[in-house]
Amino acid sequence: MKLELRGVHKYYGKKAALAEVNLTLCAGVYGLLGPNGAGKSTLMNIIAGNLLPDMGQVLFEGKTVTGGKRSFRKVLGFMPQQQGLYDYFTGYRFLAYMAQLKGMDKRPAKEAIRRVLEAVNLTEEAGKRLGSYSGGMKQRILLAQAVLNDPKVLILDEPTAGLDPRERVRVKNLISRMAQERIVLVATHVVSDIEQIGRELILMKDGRVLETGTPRELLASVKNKVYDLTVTGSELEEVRKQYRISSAAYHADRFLVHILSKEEPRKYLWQTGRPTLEDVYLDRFENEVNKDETVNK
Amino acid sequence: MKLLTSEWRKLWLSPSFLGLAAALLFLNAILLYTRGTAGDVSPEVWREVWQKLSSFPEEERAQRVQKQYEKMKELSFTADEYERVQALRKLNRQVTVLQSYEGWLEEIKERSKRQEKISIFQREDPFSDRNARKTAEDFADLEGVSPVLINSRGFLAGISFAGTDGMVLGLLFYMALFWFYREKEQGLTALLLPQARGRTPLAAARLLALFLGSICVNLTFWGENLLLSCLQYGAPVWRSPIQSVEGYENCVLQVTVGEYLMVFLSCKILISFLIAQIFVFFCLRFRRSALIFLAVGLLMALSLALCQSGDGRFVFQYINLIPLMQVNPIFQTYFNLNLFSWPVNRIPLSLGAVAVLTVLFLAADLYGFGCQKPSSVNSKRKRREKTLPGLGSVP
Repeated sequence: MKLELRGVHKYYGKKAALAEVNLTLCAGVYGLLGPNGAGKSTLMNIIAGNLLPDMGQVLFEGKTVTGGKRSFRKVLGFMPQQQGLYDYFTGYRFLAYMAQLKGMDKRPAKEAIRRVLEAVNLTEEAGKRLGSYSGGMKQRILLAQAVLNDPKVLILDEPTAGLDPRERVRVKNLISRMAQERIVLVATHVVSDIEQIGRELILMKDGRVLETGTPRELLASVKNKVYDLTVTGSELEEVRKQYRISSAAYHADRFLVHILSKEEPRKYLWQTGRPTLEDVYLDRFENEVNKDETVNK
Repeated sequence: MKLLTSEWRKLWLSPSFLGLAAALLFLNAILLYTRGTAGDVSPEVWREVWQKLSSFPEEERAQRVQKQYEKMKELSFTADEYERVQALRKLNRQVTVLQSYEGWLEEIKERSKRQEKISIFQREDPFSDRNARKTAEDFADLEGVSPVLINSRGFLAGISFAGTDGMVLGLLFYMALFWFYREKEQGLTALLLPQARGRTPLAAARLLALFLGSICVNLTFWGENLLLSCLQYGAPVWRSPIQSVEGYENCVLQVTVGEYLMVFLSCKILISFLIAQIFVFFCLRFRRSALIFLAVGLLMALSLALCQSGDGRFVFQYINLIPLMQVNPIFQTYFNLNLFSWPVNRIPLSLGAVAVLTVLFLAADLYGFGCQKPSSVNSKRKRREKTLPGLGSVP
């Protein structure tokens, strides 16, 4: 099973939302990482057929599906970002409606609805109106509709946004289970969501794919740039100006600061840090220095 | 069918639609009931006059009207009797028209024969020649039709209230917005279009639902009009020829009053569905509701301008939305338009135009639905930075 993007370009006026995107996805979970405006949602909408690329093709199993051919939409599950819902539908009715749109027969649809409601922990709330759902519940019902027809290709745009930690774990487990013999593409800002389950990460910036790699490969690329500092409150301000800070925690009158740096920060009490995907994210996407900060030499 | 049921249910679950429909139905009833009768005969007097007339056999009524009118018109009468005299005057006029009907049909035949003789020697105006011949042929089928004096006032009042057209179109416009614009505005198209049946089958289900909407709305509103008008003025004799109805003496249809009502309602349903499809076309093309309203307004203004343009022979005076929507003028008066010196009757021309436009807009709307783009990804992202995700919803 293979999903390919070949030479995909998308322009909004003169601005390139996507430029020369080439990807090949096989079964497994792929994380799409990038800052706002990187082109993640545009890419996902092009795969889903909501947008047409200005150049390039989308292929599934070697056949062109650009623009969302019906044969592809039958095997696709799509969870768009920031989605409106039908306030007056109950959760059950909404899923029944989506099952109809997916072309599912009545009996299999009933069984599938029961199964997905259980998977996203919304069985108790299925009879309530969507208008009464919290933001997290709405995210879960959207995820439920995406997996309803047991799709071969699952495109999820920010699936864990608004979820509490317990629900995030649940969603991550669901995604991980679905990834067997399926292509799952997850766009997220929350790198920890994809860190443990992602087969490969795709880093995007300004409409281009910067690089791809397994989590291990990407972590290895920042291995010698990550340090943990122990500093005082007055030193912290200096550190902020000189280095990119990944995290800072206050503990026993000191700050434990996790930074990115090309050189060892000998001025402070330091040790080599354990790299995380947040560090990779900072390294790739926040190369520019804030105007208040000085560059580390 | 399942999709159709779901779409229909979505509309009926919407409190704003139910509220709007109920309000317009109520408004329609009020406006119809209080429609001005200044200078005209009040419903109560009309009913009283007809009640007396109905006690006589049908074949005697025309004579009774003439006798009574002759007797009363010369006398001085009180204000109370004035309306009765007005009623009798109208009825007397109707009797005169009905009594001359046979002669009028004969005159059409004779005119055609005269025109034929002239045209052998003078072929300057081929349209007049052809028109006279065609008129005679079209009216030949009405030989033997004998219009009778009937109480048609209620019937006429029930099928001719222009305000109802406005309300019907208003509701259909709401439906078009509901199914083809609001979801786009709420960002729901990004969810629906990638589904296996989210394009043409969904569009077809919604257009079919719109057609059912046209049926329901037209039957409800015009049904209300007829019920109220017939209660006010009295019901007609449904099996009488349509030519018995005041103002329809010139009608070439071979139908009864009841059958004409079916024709009227069918045309209302089809034409309002066509106009609703034009609304859908605008909803699919424009991203902003202001532009949709503007386009609809311009369309109506253009139609109105076309109605009032020309010297009565300009084709688009008759083949445009407002006269089509009115329906009655299409059938009421026999009229042939001059198309390249050939007489073409207004009825097939109008209905043919409706059929062709319906097919064209159906195709355009089905295609346009599948080609929709979801709301701009960038604008959604900016809203997300200010609010929590997933909170937009269709009211």
